[in-house]
Amino acid sequence: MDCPEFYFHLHPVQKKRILIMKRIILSVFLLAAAFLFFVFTWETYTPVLPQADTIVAFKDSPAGDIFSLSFGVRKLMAEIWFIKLMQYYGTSEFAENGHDDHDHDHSLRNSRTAATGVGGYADDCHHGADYGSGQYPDFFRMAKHIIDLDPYFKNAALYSAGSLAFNMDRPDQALSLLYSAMLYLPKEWKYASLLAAIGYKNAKDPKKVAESFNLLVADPECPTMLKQLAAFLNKRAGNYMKAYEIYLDILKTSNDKFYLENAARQADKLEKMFFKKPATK
Amino acid sequence: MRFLNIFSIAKHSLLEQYRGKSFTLFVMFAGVILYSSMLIGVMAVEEEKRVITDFGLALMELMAMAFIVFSAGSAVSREMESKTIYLILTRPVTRLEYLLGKILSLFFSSLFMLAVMSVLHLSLIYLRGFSVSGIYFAIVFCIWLKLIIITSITFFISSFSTSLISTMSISVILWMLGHFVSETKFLVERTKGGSFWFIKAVAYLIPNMQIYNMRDMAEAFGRTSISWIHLFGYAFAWTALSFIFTFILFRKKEF
Amino acid sequence: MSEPIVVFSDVVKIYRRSHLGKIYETAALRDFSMEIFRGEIIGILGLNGAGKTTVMKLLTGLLYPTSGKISVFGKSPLDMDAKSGIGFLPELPYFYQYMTPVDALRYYAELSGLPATEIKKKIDGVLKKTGISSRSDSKISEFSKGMMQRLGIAQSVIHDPELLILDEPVSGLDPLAIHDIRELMSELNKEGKTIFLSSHSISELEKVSDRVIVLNRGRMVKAVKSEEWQKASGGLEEIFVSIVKTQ
Repeated sequence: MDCPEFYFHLHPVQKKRILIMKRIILSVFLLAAAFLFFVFTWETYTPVLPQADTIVAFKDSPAGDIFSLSFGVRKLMAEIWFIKLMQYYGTSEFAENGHDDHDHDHSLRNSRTAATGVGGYADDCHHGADYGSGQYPDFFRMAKHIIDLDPYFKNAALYSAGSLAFNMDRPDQALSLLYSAMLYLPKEWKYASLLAAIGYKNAKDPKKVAESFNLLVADPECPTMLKQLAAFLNKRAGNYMKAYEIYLDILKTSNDKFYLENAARQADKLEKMFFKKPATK
Repeated sequence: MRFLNIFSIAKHSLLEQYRGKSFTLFVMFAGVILYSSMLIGVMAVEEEKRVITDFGLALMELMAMAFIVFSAGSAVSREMESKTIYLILTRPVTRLEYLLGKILSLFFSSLFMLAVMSVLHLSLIYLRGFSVSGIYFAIVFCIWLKLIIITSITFFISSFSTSLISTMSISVILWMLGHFVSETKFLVERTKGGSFWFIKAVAYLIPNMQIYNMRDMAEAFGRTSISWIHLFGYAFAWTALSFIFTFILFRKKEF
Repeated sequence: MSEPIVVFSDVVKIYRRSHLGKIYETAALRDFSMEIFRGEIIGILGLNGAGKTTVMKLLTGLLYPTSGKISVFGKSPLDMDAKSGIGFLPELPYFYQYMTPVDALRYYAELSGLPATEIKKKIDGVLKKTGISSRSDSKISEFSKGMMQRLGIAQSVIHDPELLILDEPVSGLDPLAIHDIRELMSELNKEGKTIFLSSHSISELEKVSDRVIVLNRGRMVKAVKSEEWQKASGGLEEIFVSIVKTQ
């Protein structure tokens, strides 16, 4: 940039002052631009996760919650709580269709319960959609805690709401949980399907319940617990072929040995009913 | 400005970091913990993929943050204490070139560390029979942008702080505060009286780390209101601002 | 005499330190004026804390004067052209311990602006000149003090500067190493380099210098030519002691 004529006649001290002024003006300009950008970011920022004060503390959760919030690992903390929830609820939830075709030993399961320390079983045996019914007094609050941390954790919401509505017969809590989740994912069709299923259950329409569940089961990421439930509900509604398909799907996709054992057992029974062949597994 | 000087200093600083034990220890530690996350993944049963992915990404971010805060906090102070800086600044190297070389080496160092840990993490994910989508790399890139911001801030703090511990502490606190932006905004809006504008002005100067937390927002990705240009611009603004202040302090430093 | 390549004009350097809200000032140099002429070996002599290292650091741009003017090759010490013409050896040269001398010299050569094609040749040359070719592949962490000092000189001359600034080049060395360093300095001077060195050792300065600046409490007291101390019965030591004791 060409300097004005008068610049060349200035004293070196004056030239230095002009240079310093130029630098100050440029710095102030840059600072102001950066600050305005920060203001713009601040004002236009729309949080997609709920604020910290919406997270309801549960037992020993505060320390972990603060850590997860401070370091931006809410999703991970929600997953850890989901693992805790599953451990709390237990994975040995298999006893269906009454005592007649029981092939488990009550005393065996009770001793397993005692050995593993997995608590919550108030009843001796859990049948049909009532399996896992138990007391589980903390189940809803744990599930809610997970949704508070990560409201986009769909599978946790589906698993928890499904368990509450169909296993523990607590539809009100299930609905409350689903509505919390739907605040952040209002267009999530799986929530709508489960809501419908709960509605039909309340209306005592097993066919419609099963149909609502079949929509959920079609999704490859559907939790196995819901598939298990869907299979049972289809059986109850008389849709044995659909139930059989779902059990086969569980055998193909699940890693959990208890689900696999139950699915194999049930599929075998249904095969005998359809095809009159020996059990393939 | 000689770019060769900046390149030489950056290259040398990078090599110095990788030869140091701390880098190897960090990566080894991260590798061990990453693979031990398999156990947590197994406990999660059906959510194994999600847990392994999220655990790994969180671990990568925290390990890289710890490493880079340590490196940035000691980058210049270590050379000043050991006086190796004498043989650099007495050469035709401007202080600006020196600082640019140092900070660029830190940026590339964090990128390299993330890359190494990503390879370990992806190997674990594929070993377990899962795969990742493109958003994984977007998440890692956002982690890097976060690290760039905290590196610049730490670099600036180290230019006037008297101890490495205090530098690291302030940086970690700012990192944590950066994740509480929505809560801070909520509280600021409820402040009344004369202090409102002052508190608001201070709040603007908290780096918003939450906008880069794509890992937690991956499910809600479509809902974020921040564009990529904005993310880049914000990181650039923070980096430039911190660097300018660092340079202002450093140019008058005596050795 | 030739034109001065370094000029200090009434330079004042005050160190400011704050402690518990109070500012403490220490005047390291007061109205210090000095000239260094092309081609000479000039020493600076003074007691501990006299300001010798301060002068050297002001010359290399590591410190800024509180007031006064310093010019190196007619430019400010911060000017890149001025820095290109200077080679500096600090009192205790510090290198990156994991490096070999070749790695270190390559790094400093790059920073000095040497073209990549010339660097290897220059490195081989200075290693040979300073007598550490045989240890070119060893790590610097394995070096003795004498070898570190040689490496320090090597890095100061690799870019062929016109002015060498050596702060206590023989401090802590054994007699053989001192002799070798002294020979090296003479050789470099014969090549046309101007050398400015500081030392506590009066005898050492006597052996190499053309002139010695005596510094006491931050002021230049006297510039003593070699002819003067050669005439004095007690040599430079007698002159120095008499100056210091009368101050």
